Amino acid sequence: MTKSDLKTLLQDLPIPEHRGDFWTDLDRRLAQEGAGAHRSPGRRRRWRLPAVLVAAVLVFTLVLSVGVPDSMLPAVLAYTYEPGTYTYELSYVATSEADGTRGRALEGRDSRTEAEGTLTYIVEAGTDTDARTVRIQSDITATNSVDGPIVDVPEVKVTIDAEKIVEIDSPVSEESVPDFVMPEPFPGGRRALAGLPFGFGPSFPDRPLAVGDTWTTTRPVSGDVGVQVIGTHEVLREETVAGRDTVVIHSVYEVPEVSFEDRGRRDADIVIGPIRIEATIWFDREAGIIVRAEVVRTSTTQTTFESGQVITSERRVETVVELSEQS
Amino acid sequence: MTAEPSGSGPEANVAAAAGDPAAFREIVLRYDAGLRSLAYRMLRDRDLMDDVLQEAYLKAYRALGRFDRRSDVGTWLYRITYNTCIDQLRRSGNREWVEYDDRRHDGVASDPTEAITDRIVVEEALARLSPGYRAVLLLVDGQGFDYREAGEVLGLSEGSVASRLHRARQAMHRALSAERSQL
Repeated sequence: MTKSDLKTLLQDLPIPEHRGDFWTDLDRRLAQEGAGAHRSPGRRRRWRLPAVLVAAVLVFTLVLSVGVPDSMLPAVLAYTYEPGTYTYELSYVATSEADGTRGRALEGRDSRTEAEGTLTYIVEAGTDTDARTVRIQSDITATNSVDGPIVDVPEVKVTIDAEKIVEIDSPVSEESVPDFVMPEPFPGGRRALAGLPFGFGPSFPDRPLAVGDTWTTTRPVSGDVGVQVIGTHEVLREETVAGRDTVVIHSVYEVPEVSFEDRGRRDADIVIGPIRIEATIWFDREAGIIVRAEVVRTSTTQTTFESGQVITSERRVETVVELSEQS
Repeated sequence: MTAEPSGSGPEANVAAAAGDPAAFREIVLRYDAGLRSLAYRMLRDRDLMDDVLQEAYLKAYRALGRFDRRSDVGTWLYRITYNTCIDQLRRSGNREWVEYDDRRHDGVASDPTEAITDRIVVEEALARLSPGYRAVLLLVDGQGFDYREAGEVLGLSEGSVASRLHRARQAMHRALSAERSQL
């Protein structure tokens, strides 16, 4: 059978229809998202102008009665770490694909790691008035699989139980949690979770920030490899999340290639990077904490063995954390 | 891509669809048939297909405000749907597919010479593949995605798509051969 035969077979497969109430059900659920019920295109066109007028009148009335709607910006943003317990729901998906050969073929070997659970930060006043003790605990379950052929690793409990003292107005960065070791199945993911969500907020400048403002930060990569992480940050908008007024900030962190020799277990030259991390955080200015973070990390690793064989691995890690409980 | 080739998607309307279910539905309808095909073949269950598509569409609707207008909205919807299918398979602990191990089939004549027209055979052969193989075949061979588009959906580089597709085609040939032998 030729390639085109296979294409024809696949293209001729029938497409199942939705169940009868699919669109009605979807419309109802979309409406529950707070955007109003589904309207037909025609009806929407007829009502667009009146709706705009009504909205304008409402805004005008609001402005007359209470003034310009409150905006928390421009403002100086800072992490305050008020003592308390903060619990975040976590979702973590890491995928990687290795290409190359060493002994047995690794070409196209895909792996996928998923983790879900909670991260809890217990913040207590430190001995210094400008410091807090942050204890981080986890209740996370992870699974890992490699396909082609599939190898499943049973569910694993990931345990973090560590304590750090942090300066107020300083995010808990990776460097400040060097003792955290993420057990497998988080390949290469040591400390990848430990700092979340406190770790993925940028350091803020001293000046007030408004929507559209940008700034940059640099910090050394942990491990004393002489490379800087360069972060560029932008205030995107203000947004209310679960009743909290937040500032949405988008950050891009870039790490150039790092080369080193592993003359131990693998006897290979290794090039890691470039690494790119994109993070969007929802920062509650009043509480001084991150209430949600979405982080995507992509990286490439190339390992060249003494035999000349090369394995290249591309990895993508998506992490979402959201504050679910505060006490 | 079945409904919209790359670059011709209604990206300009995406921002306007944020908060407007009707406008969002118009966008989704352009891709719904292809998404149904992908979700059904990934899950092999019509009810699950609908459940996953509802979930995927809601995720997309919630994320409209963050959609990068430089991206292709169709590819974006496919990616959300694919990931939601994978999540569903994980939740259900689905391990029913039987991966064809290249080592076991080395040297086995597996190229069927006569045309196979029975759709059931194709469906069953597809079901023997891992979700990753199934998806790349359905997207590239079934729906005409190029490697870049398929890579965006699957979270792979173009090179990885090419190598995975090659292996998926080989596995599909063997699976078709095996299905035919059972007729």
